[in-house]
Amino acid sequence: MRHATRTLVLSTILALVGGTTALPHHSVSGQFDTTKLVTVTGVISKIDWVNPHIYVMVDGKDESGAAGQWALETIPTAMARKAKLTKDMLAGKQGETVTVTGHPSRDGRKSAWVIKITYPDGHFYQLSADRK
Amino acid sequence: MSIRESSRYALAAALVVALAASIHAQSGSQVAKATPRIDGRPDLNGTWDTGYNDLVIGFVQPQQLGGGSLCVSGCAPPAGAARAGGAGRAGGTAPAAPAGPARPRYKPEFQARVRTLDANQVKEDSILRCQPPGVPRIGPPAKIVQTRREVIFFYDDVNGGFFRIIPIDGRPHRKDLPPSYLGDAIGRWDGDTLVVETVNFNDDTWLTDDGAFHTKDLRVVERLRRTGDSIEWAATAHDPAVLSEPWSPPSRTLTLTDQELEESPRCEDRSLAHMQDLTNHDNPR
Repeated sequence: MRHATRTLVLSTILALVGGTTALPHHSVSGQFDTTKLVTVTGVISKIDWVNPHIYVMVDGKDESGAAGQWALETIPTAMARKAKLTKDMLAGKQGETVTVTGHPSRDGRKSAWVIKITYPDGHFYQLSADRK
Repeated sequence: MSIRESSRYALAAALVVALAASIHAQSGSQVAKATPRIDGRPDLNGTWDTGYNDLVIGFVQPQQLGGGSLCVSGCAPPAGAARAGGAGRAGGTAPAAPAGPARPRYKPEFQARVRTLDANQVKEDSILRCQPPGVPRIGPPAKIVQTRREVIFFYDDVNGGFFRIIPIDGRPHRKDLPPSYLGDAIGRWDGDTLVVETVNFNDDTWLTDDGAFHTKDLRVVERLRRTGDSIEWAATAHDPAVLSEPWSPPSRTLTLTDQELEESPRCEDRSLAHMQDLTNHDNPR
């Protein structure tokens, strides 16, 4: 009984936390399939530090082997600035292989909405909630 | 104890009580920070946290996770953290902004048009093509420069670094300007509240994200009142030709910040051509 009560409390807390951290805005679900995940592994070739969303361009492939340049879309520049995440931090070291998880595009392009970018030394930047 | 001694003790006690009251009053005044003033008016100068991040992403404060990792968005709140709504929270105690509907209310003959625009937002909403958001959709200013003659609002918007020049020296609205996205503004002081009236808008912008169009006769009144290190911002849109009643977006509380504005990176939409759903693209400011 005590275990059940504790589980109920934890579940409630997690539900509340999940409910308050979800991104409520913009085009994510209109352009990306938030019911699916994709993992892209490759080398960052360019960071386009533009609004309304930053793009991380990665030469790599996903888990199905789809290879080429992936256009990985993420947060607005003002949000990165507030978090003190710079363009250089996002670019990492030249030539290193990164792993990016995200929600894939709905039209089959090599594109995704970034959830998390992980670098070879293990450090990562979480840029969005996993909505799946 | 003689009467003279009693009087002496009573006087000493009264002095102690008076001194204690004075110290208490001084500490109280330090808690409630005085509102800075300039030329007899509240000093609105400064860079202000408008709460953009709080509004856009709900509860999220960036978190340093150790080892160089960082959570910018979608983070679990740290233990004991307060919900978003401190700096720049919506719904403060802003002046003269009655709580109203979240969306503008239209006269019956215009409601079908709103629904059609809403259903085709990706095609119809100019804000998605990096255009200025209009007023009041642009929200409160992120920086204010105040002089005797005018107040200048600066914005830190994803669509660009916009500004508005607002005369406060009695000049009337200009007659020589074409209608524009951010209109023509003049200001005046109503006691300690800065009242900004803006007219001469084009009709390319919306009031909200969901088809809330307006005419060129839109008139927007914003009210800003500084108390201590915060400003209460409220706005009301008047467009009686199409709206059934004036509409006010949620009021906002701005807080003084030392994070200065920076040049806004260019706005370059790459998403709209790939939208599979034309309806839902919220852009809270």
